[in-house]
Amino acid sequence: MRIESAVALRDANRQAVAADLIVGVTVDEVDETVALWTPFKLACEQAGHRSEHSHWDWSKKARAIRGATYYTVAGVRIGTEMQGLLLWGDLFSPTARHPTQLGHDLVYVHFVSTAPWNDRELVDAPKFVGAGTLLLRTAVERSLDLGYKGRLGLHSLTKAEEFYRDKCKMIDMGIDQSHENLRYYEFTPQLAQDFLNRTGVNP
Amino acid sequence: MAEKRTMTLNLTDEEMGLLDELSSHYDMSKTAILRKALRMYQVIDARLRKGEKLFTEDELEKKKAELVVL
Repeated sequence: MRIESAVALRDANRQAVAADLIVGVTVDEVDETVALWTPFKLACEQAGHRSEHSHWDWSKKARAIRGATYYTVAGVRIGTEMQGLLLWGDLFSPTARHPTQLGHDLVYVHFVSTAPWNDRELVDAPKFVGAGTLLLRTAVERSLDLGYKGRLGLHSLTKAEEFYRDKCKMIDMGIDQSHENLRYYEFTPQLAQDFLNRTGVNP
Repeated sequence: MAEKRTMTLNLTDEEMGLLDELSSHYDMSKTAILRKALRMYQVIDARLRKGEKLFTEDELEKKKAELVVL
């Protein structure tokens, strides 16, 4: 499955910038993204700034899921430059943990990265903002499309917890000792709808 | 998301009962259950066609059992 649609991110002056949302990013496109992101990331690391997910190898991940129809890489691109990537699973995935949704299907977000020039761990002023929110919206929309009613789960890296808890208003389900002691967050159907309503106009 | 097409499906009472039960249990529409089943079937069928076998595993009991697929 590959779907492209016109979306918008915001630049440093909060002006809308036309972008393309891609659902079904190919391995070649992931490789190009890694090649694009790596020099900037290395320069940041030489300056003493390292993101919590700097060890993630997106090319390896993309190859590992190639041909598996139940994994999808989504990306948001401005011109030829990818501004963020997200990898989700939507079949044979973990099921919901919230007591009101226990055992129900959800879209599980495995990884999310923004381009290093958009990453607040690396730069004071991101070049473009909104990529993470837009990609998470896309995963929620996939959950709705599959009949999962917007249910979505993810384990958050420590520095991203604030984003999922305060901006996305996902439910904090606590530390998961079986998953590298990362905190697990979940959208119930109602919270997913609230998130879509809140972020629909100004992502 | 991808465009969808409509079809009519004829089911026996037993099959419809099963679909109702799954729909209720998983809090998904009958359409969503059938779409999920189709996707699972595609994945499993692709493995079986390659000559692989399908197993279930009980982690607590440390038991594995092969599902016989005719």
